[in-house]
Amino acid sequence: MSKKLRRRALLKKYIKLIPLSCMKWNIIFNDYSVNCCYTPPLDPACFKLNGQELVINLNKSGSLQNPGQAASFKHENLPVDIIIIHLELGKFAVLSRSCTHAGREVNFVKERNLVQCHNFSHSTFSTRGEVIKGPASQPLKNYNTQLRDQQLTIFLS
Amino acid sequence: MIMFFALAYLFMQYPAIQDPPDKNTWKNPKDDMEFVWIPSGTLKLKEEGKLLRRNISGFYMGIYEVTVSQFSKFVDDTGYITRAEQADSLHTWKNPGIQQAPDHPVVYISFEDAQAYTKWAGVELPSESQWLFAARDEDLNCFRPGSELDDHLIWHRQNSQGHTHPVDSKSANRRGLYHMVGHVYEWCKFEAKDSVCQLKGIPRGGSWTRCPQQIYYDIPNPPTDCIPWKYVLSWDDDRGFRCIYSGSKD
Repeated sequence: MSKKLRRRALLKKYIKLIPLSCMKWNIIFNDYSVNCCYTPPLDPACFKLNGQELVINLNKSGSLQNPGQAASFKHENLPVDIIIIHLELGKFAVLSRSCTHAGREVNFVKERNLVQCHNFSHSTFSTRGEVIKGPASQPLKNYNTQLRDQQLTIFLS
Repeated sequence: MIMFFALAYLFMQYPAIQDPPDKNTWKNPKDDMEFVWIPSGTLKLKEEGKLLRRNISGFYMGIYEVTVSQFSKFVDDTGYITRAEQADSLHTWKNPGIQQAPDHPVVYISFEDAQAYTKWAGVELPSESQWLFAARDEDLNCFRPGSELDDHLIWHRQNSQGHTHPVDSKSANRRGLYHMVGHVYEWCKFEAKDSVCQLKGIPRGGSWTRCPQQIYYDIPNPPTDCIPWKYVLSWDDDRGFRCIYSGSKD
């Protein structure tokens, strides 16, 4: 077989492997149950932003229907990203997603019922935003919510 | 035919049973820490696409992480005050803010604290190369967190219930070492490539606060490049250490 043909055969072999590696990547990085450092974004079909009020239709939101789930939200009209946590049936916490230490994103740790910074020094916060462990010294901003008929309203001001 | 396979199986097992474990271990009378002999070999590293080989001489490595109980004995003997205590940190090794027991790995330990302990115990901290060499299995692959098997070896964020565990609570790796991956980060001596670098120690191995995916990406990385020392946080609820002993096997 000529060098050119061998190269083609090798290329074909690797092209076949691409979908497989993408699938693995998808499992590792996009499945919250597998990757606990990943907080999925809020499904665009399930919310409306009315000025400083974010209204989420929980019936349509796959990432917030059950206690223990969390979703992230960012919008060009908002100064900060937020994390929305379904604590227990009908009870939600909404916090600023930027760690007050160095600004890295925080994630909900279901197993510990707290929020942890992604940084190496992993500042931790309660679900009310209070500092449990530094280096962060300031709490995360906590936003008020109201739940009515499966509509969760978050007051972002 | 059956005989042939039986003999082949025994032959495959032979390297693992040729040295009785008791000949390969050493116990430090100072703190009762048990060590296992890590035979010399070559550490293979991929750096910028190139395969590098680094020869590692044999050494004894602590089977377990240093425990709260052992560190407590060191403090009782010497009156040592850790960096976290000197800095009036909210949490220290005595008050770690997480559930701990005497047989758990000591945490809130800085590199300097770990060095002071090793000086007292007459042992050393491993270099990054030694640590990597010991952490990898016999095929020089890395443990891959996330599989069913690895959950028997590794404490990580999803299975640790928010705290550390006894130092022998998971299975040992193929070298006989417990919790090399996960549980607590372990301080290693930084091997500077030049005299300009001020970095002294580097924590390796991932911890109970890290996701399996984060640990997965930490382990295969080759020894760290120089980073400013100030970026390496001195102490935390997942920083511990284990020791090595450079004494000869014979």
